[in-house]
Amino acid sequence: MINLAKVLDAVAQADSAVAQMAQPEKVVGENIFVVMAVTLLIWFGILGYLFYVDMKLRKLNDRLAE
Amino acid sequence: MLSLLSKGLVVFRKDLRLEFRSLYALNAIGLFAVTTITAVSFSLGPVRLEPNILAALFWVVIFFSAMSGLAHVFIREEEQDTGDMLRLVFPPNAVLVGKWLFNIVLLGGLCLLIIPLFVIMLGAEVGNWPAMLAMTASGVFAMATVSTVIAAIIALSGSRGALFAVMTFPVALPVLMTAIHGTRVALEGGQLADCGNDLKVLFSFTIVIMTVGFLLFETIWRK
Amino acid sequence: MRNGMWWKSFLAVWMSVVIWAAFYYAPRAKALGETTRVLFFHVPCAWVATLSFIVAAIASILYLRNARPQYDWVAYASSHLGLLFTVLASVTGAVWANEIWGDPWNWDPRQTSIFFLMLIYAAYFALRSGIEDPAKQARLAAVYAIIAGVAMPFFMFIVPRIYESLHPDPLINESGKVKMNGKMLQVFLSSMFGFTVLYFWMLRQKIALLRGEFMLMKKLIQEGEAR
Repeated sequence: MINLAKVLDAVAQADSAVAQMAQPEKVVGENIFVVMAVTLLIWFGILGYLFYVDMKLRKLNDRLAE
Repeated sequence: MLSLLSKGLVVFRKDLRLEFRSLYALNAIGLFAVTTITAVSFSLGPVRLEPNILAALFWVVIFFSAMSGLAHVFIREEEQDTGDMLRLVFPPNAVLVGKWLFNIVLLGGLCLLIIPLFVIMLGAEVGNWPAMLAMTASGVFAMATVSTVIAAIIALSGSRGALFAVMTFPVALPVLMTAIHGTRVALEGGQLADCGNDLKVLFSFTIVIMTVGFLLFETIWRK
Repeated sequence: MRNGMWWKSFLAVWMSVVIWAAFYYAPRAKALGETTRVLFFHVPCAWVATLSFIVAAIASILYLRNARPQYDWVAYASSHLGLLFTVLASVTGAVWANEIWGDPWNWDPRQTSIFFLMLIYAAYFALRSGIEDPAKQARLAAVYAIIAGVAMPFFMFIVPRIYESLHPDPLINESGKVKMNGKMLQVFLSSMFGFTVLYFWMLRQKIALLRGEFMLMKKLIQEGEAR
């Protein structure tokens, strides 16, 4: 009986170990904030540039229309 | 072709004579090199530098010395208003040939000064002299070529040399990288064959830049 | 201005789909984890930076053959975009490299090439800002762009090859490309296409701005003469 309990215990432990292994390991490259930072940097850069050019273009057109 | 070369030689001799009269470019680049090497030597004291640092320092000194003096051949023509006369008398490419030869001689002369200084003041030990000299010669050849073409742009742009280093650096970067690599190999005592790739890159780069230079110089030189 | 709406709406829809797909549709590469997704935005930036360099060089050649200001506008506008995209590519590259290699900058051949492009663009604008006369500015800038364009292949292809032994190329884009499976490739190519269209849209806007400035200058000169 005691042996059986021990075996069950060991199996449970092994199971939890497997469950831990199955979890995604904490390795490099799992930081989603890096991805977010990169994406946002690119989009803000592009949008900022477009808005800047657009603004200057509108001002210029106003002056040309005068 | 032959007349181009002979006319180029006339421009070259004219520049050489003018240079010996004022010694402007010679002073500028020579003193720059001496000052830099002395400053490094002072601050180091008895410490000896590794070959990779020595090689980088060597080319940094050559690069910035070149930047302080090589644009002068073109800038002088614009400042003293002799450029228009040159435009009338010589075909554009003959002018380029003359200035190019002059800058090669100037920068080559500088190396004759720098190499002994490196050996004496910085205690550089050259592992393989033939390789070292081959690398220096081809590197200087490439550097003089790139700087001459850019110097023409600079002189005509009217910015009087302020932008010279900024504009030459990106174009000369392949030269610097290969020359530093090859010089390090030579300092460490590698054979001439070990620098073969670097020499090939430098040589082909020079040819390509010079070809483009000849094709475009007329456009640059036109007022 | 009317057909500008088409560009805008197309780009808005296409890029939204690309962004969604990059985060939800594309799988992750094993070695790169979540940061695989960086690939879909960072690499197109580097591609656009290179593309704008090529466009600027071609426009410069055309300008020297036929000195029409339109060619100069293309070269100028394209270099402007090139500067923007080299900065974006190198900054995002540094952020990513800091995560995956533990070091934001390590002179990897690709990093070096983009840095080299950035220097060229910066020098190009420094040159332009130093020249007053517009025709001379355009001409000398075109010459410089062509010389830089000739030097670039040396830099991008020959130098990194010589230094292959010195610069190990740790699982940057290559691994992504080689191991890219179907879904990733779909998203990647869509993103490349989207960024290319975006580039041409931005180029169009910038050229419109340059043309407007040109017209304004002309108008002011005419008014001055009339007075």
